[in-house]
Amino acid sequence: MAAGRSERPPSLEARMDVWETLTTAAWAVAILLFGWMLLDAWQVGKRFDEDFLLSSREGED
Amino acid sequence: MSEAATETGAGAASGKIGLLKVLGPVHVWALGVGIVLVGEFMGWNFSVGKGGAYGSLIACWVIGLLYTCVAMIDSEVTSTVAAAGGQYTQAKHIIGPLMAFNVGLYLVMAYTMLEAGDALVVGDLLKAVAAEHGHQNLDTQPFVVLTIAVLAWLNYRGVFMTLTVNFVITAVAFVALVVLFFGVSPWSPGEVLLHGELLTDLPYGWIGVIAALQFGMWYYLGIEGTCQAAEEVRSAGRSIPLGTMSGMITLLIAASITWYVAAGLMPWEYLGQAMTPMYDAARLTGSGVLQVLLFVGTIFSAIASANGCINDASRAWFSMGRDHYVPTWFGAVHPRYRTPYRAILFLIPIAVVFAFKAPLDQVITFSILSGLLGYTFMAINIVKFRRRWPLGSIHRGYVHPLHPVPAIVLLVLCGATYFATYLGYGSTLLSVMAFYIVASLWFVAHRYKYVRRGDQFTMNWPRPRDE
Repeated sequence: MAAGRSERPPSLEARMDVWETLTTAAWAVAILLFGWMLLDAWQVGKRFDEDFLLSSREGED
Repeated sequence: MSEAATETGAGAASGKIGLLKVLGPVHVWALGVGIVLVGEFMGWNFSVGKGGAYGSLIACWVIGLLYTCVAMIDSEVTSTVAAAGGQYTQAKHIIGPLMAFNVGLYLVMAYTMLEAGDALVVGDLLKAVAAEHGHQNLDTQPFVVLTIAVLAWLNYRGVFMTLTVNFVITAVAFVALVVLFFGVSPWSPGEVLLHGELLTDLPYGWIGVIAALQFGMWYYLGIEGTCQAAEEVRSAGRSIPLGTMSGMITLLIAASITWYVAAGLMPWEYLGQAMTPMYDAARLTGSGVLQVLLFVGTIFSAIASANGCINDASRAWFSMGRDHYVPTWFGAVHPRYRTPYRAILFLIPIAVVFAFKAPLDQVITFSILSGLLGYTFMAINIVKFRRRWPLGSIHRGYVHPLHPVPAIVLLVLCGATYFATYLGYGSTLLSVMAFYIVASLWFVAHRYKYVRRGDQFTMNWPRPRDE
């Protein structure tokens, strides 16, 4: 019975569910990445001197 | 400062921090070709709609000449002015603050808008895949935002990995075009490719060919972005000219292949308005393998372009921050990843707004026009550069031949392309001009007072001839 079911193509509803899941996952991952970058930038600002972060000079290694 | 020393190693020993010098010629190639190659997969074909297939080929070669001049001029100046910011830094050293501000803004706008357009393309391709699998009207917004988020994160974490990834996906996209070329048996005309039946005379005459120049820029738009990597390459004098010129040769090959295959498979009336012409070309061959390969190539090229655009826009904005042209807060370097992390972060919401609030064709036209303004500047810049610092007066990693012929050719071709853009997008052209005039007025009124002209001149060059 189970083998018979697996041979049938997935229903339209199941395929729509996959894309809706992907849509939700895309939002979640994007928000996670933005959040991580913002948090990291905030932590760097707290841990390091502003003068040090802005010390890059053109033409210096 | 001890924490800084622990986290950043040698860079912090002197109490200063800068971008990492880790890139080689391969990364420079990946940056330049990566930004451009999406134009071979889509966009160039609108030139066919304006001037027919032959008109598009003429535009491909004429604009190819324009970009060869750009690449030669850029290679010479950047091999000497080895700093992030590319043409902005060149303008600052050679012309002056107002030109530098405008060129910096052209770069940031051109790349950020192109990034938004690329992310929209990724969303649209996924929507087409979803529709083929029975899911109509997929919401593209989360995928557009995800594309921008992932690539921004990659850029935030380090330039070496960012451009190594760009090299791999750009190489896959280029190989896809080459495989398609061999897949249509170019050695047997009439078997798959039907140039004899499909090629016609110029449908709108020579004015159509002029109009095609604007879309001919898609074949090469962005190759000048290689010089944004100047501060992060191990040897700017070697890597920038090598990466840029090899990139230009790659694009000339890719553009010729693209035109030859597409013009031999599709009538110009269809080709001139197709959204994904190379994917359509693969479908017409009837090969499932080519179809999958060209789909992958199309999506990879869009991702590589967006990735390179984030890299370049952030370097330009970072450099402008470092020189006080915009708030200095943007001139910060991440102590661990050694990237311009605040500039990267700041440009994310701007790209998202461009993606969702502006029509794609207007965004792309604004981007192209910003690029064109930058090329016009380059022609003026190189003449002034050679006059102020003649050959032999300073060390150059590369000297371009036949000066001032490339500068004159570049200026003439830029003029022709402005006219072509005026024919199709006159109101956008005027809006772009108005935008940069207003921005210049703002700069003169509010930011110029912060610019330290003496400090921003960092090259160890003798006093210029005309001072």
